[in-house]
Amino acid sequence: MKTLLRYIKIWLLFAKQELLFQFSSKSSIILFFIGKTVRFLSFLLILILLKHNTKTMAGYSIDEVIIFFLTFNFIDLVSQMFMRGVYSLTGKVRSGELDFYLAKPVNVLFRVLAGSPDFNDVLIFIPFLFFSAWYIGQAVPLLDAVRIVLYLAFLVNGLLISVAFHIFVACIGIITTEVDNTIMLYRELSQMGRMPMEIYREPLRFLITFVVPVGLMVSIPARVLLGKAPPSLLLTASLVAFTVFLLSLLSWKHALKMYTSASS
Amino acid sequence: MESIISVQHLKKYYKVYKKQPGLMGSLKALFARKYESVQAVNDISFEIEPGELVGFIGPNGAGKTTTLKVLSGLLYPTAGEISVLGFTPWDRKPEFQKQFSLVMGQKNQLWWDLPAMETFLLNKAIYEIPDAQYKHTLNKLVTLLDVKDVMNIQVRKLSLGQRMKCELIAALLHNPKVLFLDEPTIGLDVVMQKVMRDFVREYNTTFGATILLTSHYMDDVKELCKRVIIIDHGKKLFDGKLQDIIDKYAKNKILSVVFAKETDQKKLETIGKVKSFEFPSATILVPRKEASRLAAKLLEDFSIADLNIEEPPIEAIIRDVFQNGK
Amino acid sequence: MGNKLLLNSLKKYWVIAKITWMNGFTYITSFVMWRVRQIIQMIVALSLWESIFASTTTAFGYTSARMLTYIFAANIIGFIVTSSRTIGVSSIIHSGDLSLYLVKPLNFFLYWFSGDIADKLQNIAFSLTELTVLFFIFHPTLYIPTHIATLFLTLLAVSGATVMYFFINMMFGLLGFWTPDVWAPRFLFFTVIFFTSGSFFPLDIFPKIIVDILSYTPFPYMMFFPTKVLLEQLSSIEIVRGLLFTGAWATLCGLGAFTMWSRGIRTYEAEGR
Repeated sequence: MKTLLRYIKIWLLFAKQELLFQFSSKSSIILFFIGKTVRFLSFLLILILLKHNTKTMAGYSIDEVIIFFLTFNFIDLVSQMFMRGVYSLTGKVRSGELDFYLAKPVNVLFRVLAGSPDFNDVLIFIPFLFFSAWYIGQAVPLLDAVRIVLYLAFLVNGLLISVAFHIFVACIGIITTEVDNTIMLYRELSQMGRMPMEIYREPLRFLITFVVPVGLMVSIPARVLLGKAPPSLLLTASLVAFTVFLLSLLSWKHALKMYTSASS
Repeated sequence: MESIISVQHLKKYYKVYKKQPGLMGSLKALFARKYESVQAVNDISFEIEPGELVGFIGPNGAGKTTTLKVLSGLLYPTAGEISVLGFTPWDRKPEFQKQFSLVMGQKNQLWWDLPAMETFLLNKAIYEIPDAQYKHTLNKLVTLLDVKDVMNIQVRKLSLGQRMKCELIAALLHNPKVLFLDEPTIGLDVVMQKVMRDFVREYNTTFGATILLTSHYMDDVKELCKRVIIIDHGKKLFDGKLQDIIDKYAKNKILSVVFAKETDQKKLETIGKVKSFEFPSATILVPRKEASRLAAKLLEDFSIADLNIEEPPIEAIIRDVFQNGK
Repeated sequence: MGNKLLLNSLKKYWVIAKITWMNGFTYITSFVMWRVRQIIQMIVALSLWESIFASTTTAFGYTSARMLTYIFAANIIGFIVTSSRTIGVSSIIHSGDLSLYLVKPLNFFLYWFSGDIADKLQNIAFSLTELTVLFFIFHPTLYIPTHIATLFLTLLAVSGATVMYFFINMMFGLLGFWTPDVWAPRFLFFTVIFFTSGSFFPLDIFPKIIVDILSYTPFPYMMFFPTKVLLEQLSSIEIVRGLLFTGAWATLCGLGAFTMWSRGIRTYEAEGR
């Protein structure tokens, strides 16, 4: 418990630092906020346009597609909010700042991932949550408490996969210096998860569902909500999530060992 | 002779923004920023003749680099009349730019991932250098700097010294009549500093270019410049031969002694201020005018094996000049 | 004699293009990543529309063939118009390296434009292979333009769009004279472009009033307008109007860029950077 409190305190300090850093340029906070809002609203607008002008997309009604879209955004926003730090990892390895971290009594993985939280995302997240809750409330038929709980549970499941993946990226970042490109690739591929996996043709669908498991992250909870997820699928998804998460932690331990035993 | 560089009453003032530390300071800065005016250069005048090698020395923030940037056309002066090669620098006319070169210590113009040769060819095109002249100048410079083998290797694979030499070549391919060197030896080790200084000297003699260099290292100036302009806090403190500074400002001379027999330090104090005493050697600071007389007295009153009358190091003299700010 | 001098002074920009081209190949990993991202965006767009047209023959007045052709054409044009290296301009200003450019007999704008041409050519060369692959995967029935004039008019529209986009990018880069953070406004701009230039859906899926309003902004002229010209879906009047608007925006942005440049140079303090 004490450790948890301590880490929360540390995280808040990181957040304050980041905020200070962002405040140093007036307009950028506002511009980023506007940009992210525009992006979200534009996608929504297009989906609504599609809703009034087309029938289905890969077997889903457009309303259902919107649910996928919102679920994707939830996972993406939360990941961005808390794990933005991994994007600056190459820089830290090169500058030697990582060595600095290793000498401190704070868990290195925590610092690498969660060290640069972006409060801008928090600003967007709150209205987003309200909107999503409202939309789900009015667009999903046969909504009951069980489904909602399962949905939330599998959102967490999806987040677990996301965390695992960010940890893998961090591992790569420590071993090589190719993080930037790997991250960009990961982000681009995960952007494909905005829409249901079914719109993509095979090999690609397989790639996105299992290799960069954006498919698993997003479509499982969405399908749970829509009542289209058989229990076997749910079981598989949970198993995959836990396995992948444990694997990532092991990889990190290993990568750290490799890093500290190599000379600079 | 018509001066090639003419500076009359140059003034350059900057605006610098201030911010208080912390979150409250950042919030305040969002709404109202305070600034203050910094007088980087505050009425400087000088003339330079063709072919001169002049050193601009002063501590950090003295205004040396600012002056150089005005002469290169990078900055507009707040006031003053400037002429270089007959041009107004900040008009940045191509005819002017083709005749001078600015080399800044830490700045690199070589394309990092390509061989230096490619940047050379680029500069050849930019400065519109005819083929024959290009080949001739390139060969001369390459021989002078001894970099024949490295021109076709990617710049990022070169050592710092090789890179520095290639940077120099890139800057001099167009045979500039005027060369501005801003802190050329900064960040270099002792060996490379010497290489740089030797090159500058050779370039001045072989190519006949007028060279103006800024530095806060005394050695650059000692080795290279007969004429020195001292700047501090934006004002010119001295302009003339290096020897003249010594004569004018060095109040003291140093008597450097080796004793033949054991001596009492206290007795030595009657001659002058004892700077160091470690038997058998000692150094004594004496007023300049009294140097010969006190040296004779030393020989008379003490048992001396060796005696030298020396100038104090230039660094000390210059430091005095700065501190007195005359 | 005057011509020879002019030619001589322009030769340098050809050399700049050459050296930028060479330099581009040394960053091959980043370049490939950049291409991969472009392909992914195309795949998303193509997959999206393909799946929509699986349940309906027309949508927004487009058939499947027309829509997929649009996506292909718009993206090719997009590569040509938007490949650029001017991202580097603001960091050059901040680092003080701008001084190295200012002391040379070089036109700053022409310098960057020449570099951009080289960059565009590289992107086009690579994208041709990618597009062939995508073509084989999605095998859309492509619409081939029937009039020679179409190609000429498309070229005109694309050239205008390229120049306009160049100046817009320069303006963002030149913001570096006044602010250390250029990424935020750029980000907003890219976000807006993503939805209003017509790269992964044609703009006329929007209600007419939105399309009309957009037609007074520069965005549709980057990809949407040239593509529509190529696909011969516009009347002569619409083409003329579009070209005039493209020209007007290119000129306006050019004026904006030049003004920012001369103002910025005035306040450029290359001190200690």
